[in-house]
Amino acid sequence: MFLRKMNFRKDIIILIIASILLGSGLVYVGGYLTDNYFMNMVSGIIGDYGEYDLLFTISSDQEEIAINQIKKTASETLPGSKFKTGPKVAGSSNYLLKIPDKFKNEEIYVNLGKYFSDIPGLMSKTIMTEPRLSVRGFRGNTRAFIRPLFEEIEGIYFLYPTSDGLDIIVEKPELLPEVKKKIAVVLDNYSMLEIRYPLNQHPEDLSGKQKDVIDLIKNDTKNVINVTDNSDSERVSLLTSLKQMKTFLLSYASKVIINDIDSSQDILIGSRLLAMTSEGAYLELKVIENQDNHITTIIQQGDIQNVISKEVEVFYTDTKGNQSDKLGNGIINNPRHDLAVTLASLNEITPSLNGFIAQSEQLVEFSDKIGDDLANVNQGLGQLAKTSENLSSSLSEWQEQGLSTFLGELLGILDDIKINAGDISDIQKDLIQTSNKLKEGAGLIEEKIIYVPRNNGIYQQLFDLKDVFLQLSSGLDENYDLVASRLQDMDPVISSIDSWQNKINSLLKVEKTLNNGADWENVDSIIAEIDQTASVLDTDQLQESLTSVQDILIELKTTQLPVVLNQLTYIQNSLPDLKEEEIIETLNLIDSYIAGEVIPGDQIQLLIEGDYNNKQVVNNIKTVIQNPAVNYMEMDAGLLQPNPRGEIFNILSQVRAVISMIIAFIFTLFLMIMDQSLIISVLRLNNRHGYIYGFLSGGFIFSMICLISQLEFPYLNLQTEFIIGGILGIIITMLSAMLNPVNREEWEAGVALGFSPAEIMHEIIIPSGKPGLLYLLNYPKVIFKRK
Amino acid sequence: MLGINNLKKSYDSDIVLSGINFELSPGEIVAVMGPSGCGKSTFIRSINRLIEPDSGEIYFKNISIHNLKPREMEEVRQDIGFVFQHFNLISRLSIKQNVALGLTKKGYSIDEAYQKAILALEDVGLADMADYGVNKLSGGEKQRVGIARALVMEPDLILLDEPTASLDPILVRDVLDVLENIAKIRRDTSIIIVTHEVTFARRVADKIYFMDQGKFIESGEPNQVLNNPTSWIGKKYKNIINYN
Repeated sequence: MFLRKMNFRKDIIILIIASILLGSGLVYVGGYLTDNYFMNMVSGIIGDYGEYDLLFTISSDQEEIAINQIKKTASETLPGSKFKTGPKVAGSSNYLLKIPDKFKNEEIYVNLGKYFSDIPGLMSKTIMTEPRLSVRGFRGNTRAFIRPLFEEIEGIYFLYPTSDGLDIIVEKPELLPEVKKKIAVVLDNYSMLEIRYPLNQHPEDLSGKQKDVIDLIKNDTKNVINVTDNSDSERVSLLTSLKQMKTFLLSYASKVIINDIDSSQDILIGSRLLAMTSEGAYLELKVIENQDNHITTIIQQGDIQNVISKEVEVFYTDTKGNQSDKLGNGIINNPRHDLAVTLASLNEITPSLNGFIAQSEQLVEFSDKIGDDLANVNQGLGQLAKTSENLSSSLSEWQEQGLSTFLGELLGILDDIKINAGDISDIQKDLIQTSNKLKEGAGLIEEKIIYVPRNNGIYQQLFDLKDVFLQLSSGLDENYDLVASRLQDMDPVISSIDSWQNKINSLLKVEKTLNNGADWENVDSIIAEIDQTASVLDTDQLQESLTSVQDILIELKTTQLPVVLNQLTYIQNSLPDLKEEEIIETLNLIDSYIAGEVIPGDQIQLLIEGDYNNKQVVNNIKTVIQNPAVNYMEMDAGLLQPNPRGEIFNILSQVRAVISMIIAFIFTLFLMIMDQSLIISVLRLNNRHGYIYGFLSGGFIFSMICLISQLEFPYLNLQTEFIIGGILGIIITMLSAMLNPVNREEWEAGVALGFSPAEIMHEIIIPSGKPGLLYLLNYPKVIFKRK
Repeated sequence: MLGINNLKKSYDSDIVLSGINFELSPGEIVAVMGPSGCGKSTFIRSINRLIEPDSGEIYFKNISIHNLKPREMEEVRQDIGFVFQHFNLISRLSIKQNVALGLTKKGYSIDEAYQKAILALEDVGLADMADYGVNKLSGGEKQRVGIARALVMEPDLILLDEPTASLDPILVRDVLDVLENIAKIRRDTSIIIVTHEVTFARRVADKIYFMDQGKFIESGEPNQVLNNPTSWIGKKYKNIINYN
């Protein structure tokens, strides 16, 4: 009321506005200087905070092309991006990229790797968008469950998934502590309970067990979420690959195998032994397997190229690695050498197969000839039958028809039959020889294929080749059997022929002895046997079988054999070329990496909300699982990772806030002492509400400075700031008479002269007061500026 | 010129003015006398409302000023000079500026105000010290500046609140001489002076009021009330005269 009456309101409003603007400016400048000083210092060490979003580290020798490529990619995918060249460090250049705000979203951040995947010379790419929080260590499908809970938190700009977690971009650095606190609350509200089966254990009906477990513990917990993820993680895949690689390399590594020793209990896996070759050379061995007095070692050091005998003497080593007592005898096993031999053997098959082709052609010819031969045999046999009929005639007719001539022809026929039968026997031998070679080749492949890694294409090719060999061999065997059975069928014919020949020769003699009294019983028996033999020999069936063999051989020649030959050539060209040292070094490297790593078996992953009695729940679960080898692990739902950059900059922002707050407070104090205290003194002089004015003015000025300068001091909101300023105003009011006294007599003099309170303030009170902002603002209004 | 009816003022239960009635004619010089704490200063300060009375009527030049708005009252005060017991000079201003200050309110330019101020200072014998700071002045000189400040406004009424009470006795005479001289020169200007200077009052005043406990208990021409006082205050002052 008094202020209104004294007509000084306008001055006060102007003063307060000017005070707030000036104070805000000072706070802003103070904050800027603080930022400039501290941020520059820190950003020189760990990079700019929040200004840039991506850090590319580029090999200096490809810097130009890489930068051009990055710029091109950014202009295409993230138009409006800003670039800055960072410091060069030890052959690498750093390049910073600021992504426009409109592109700051999950989709872009998830695909950043894809956008910049093809930059030549790019050594690394780091997302450095701040303020950012990182949550890692989500197990199973926990991330999918937790993410919506994070998204409900105010102050989060956006989220994007990382390998096993989430990165959270916060709207403003000031919100970082609050968002972090809320994320921690969400994570603290959940626990992960993992039921882990041992390596390679895969229980039947895992999903059924999951359901049983959840049903069982549902009542013991607030809420249970099944977040089991049975897909192998990348780590597991890597470990599996490494273990396979180790197995592959071990299969190629040269070994010394020690058998039949009395006791191998004191020899530990990984211990060192020494082997001495027959040439006196030493080999350093490392034990990789010890089972039933059978020790397998790999050769760590030593050359076995020139070792002739595979037998070596094996010794213990003392603490200094020198030769100690003899352990026993061992055999060098050089799989790579064996593989080379195998390949050589396979190579040897090639000419055999070529020979087989020629042989098959010959066989075809033979089969044609056999046909002719069999035709001749049949014809001969027909003639024999006819002859036998004739034999039933009188010997006189024989004489009339020239028996000796007929018998001579018959002998010729029988010789041809024998020759033809011999050809069939040769074919049989060729079949056996070729089949055996094919089986030998298949056996070699079978023996050596274990050294070839299964994930290598060579393995499958060798495996196919083995099958072809066996298939061929089987086909030949079948035909061999058929030929053999026909030969067996022919055996009595041949033996009969032999008999016939003998008898015919006898008959020829008969011709001489006809006149001397022939043995007609023999003639009768010959006739009977010829009849019998002619009925036994089924030449048509043999002809048919040989034709089918011919068909197979033709197919082999035209299709399968060229494929086999091509595969052999490919295998020869694609076998790995590994040295002993390389194998050992690689094995050691793999061992050092996978040391202690275990490929997990199946698991059940449960996300449990709220507190629960872990011991009780686990005991209940054990009744369902019923497997003592199963482990029960309780862990956090996710880990809120410290962000060193963010923390440092957060501290700096708090330092900035503290410094700005101090500036705001000191400036408010200054204003209150220099200016407001004078007004308060006038109010108190006139018995007005000095304390109320002091509280309101102090609170308003301080809170408005904080508000306009966007001063975000931790734990202080606008109301609190108003109260702090108000308390300051009350203190100033209490001290106003001392800080900025107003002379009552001068005031009264002004009143007595007819001046209004505002005029008294302008001309008498303010010019006599402290030279603050009010003094400066009032100066133009002063009539008598100097004495 | 000035009429006061039933003027009352109290501070809580302490009644300072209890129904004052007062009349002042143009050019009349009135001395208000009484013991300390009787309400003299409250009375004289209430006239130009330096102290707001609780009730009563005040007429100045036939205008009721007791209910004027602040801005209107400010104009009235320009016609009522006031001389304070403690001088009430503006310490930051020079002598000349102190005197000229009120003139600026009346619309005078600074130069005009200075010219008039110098003239006023000549009247009180301080023209040659016009540019001095007031802190360099003696009490008497300060009071003479105060008187000049009141006179320069050419008021119709001058109120003097014990103008010599704060002065060294040696300096009182100078001030009283100035006042007496002014009284002679400015016959059209009415004066109310609160004072204990009984001989000064007897010599200069047209009328003397004796006040006690917020009331005038005796008033009259100086010779009357001082030679034949009826009130105990008048008798006291008579004794003082006799003593001197």
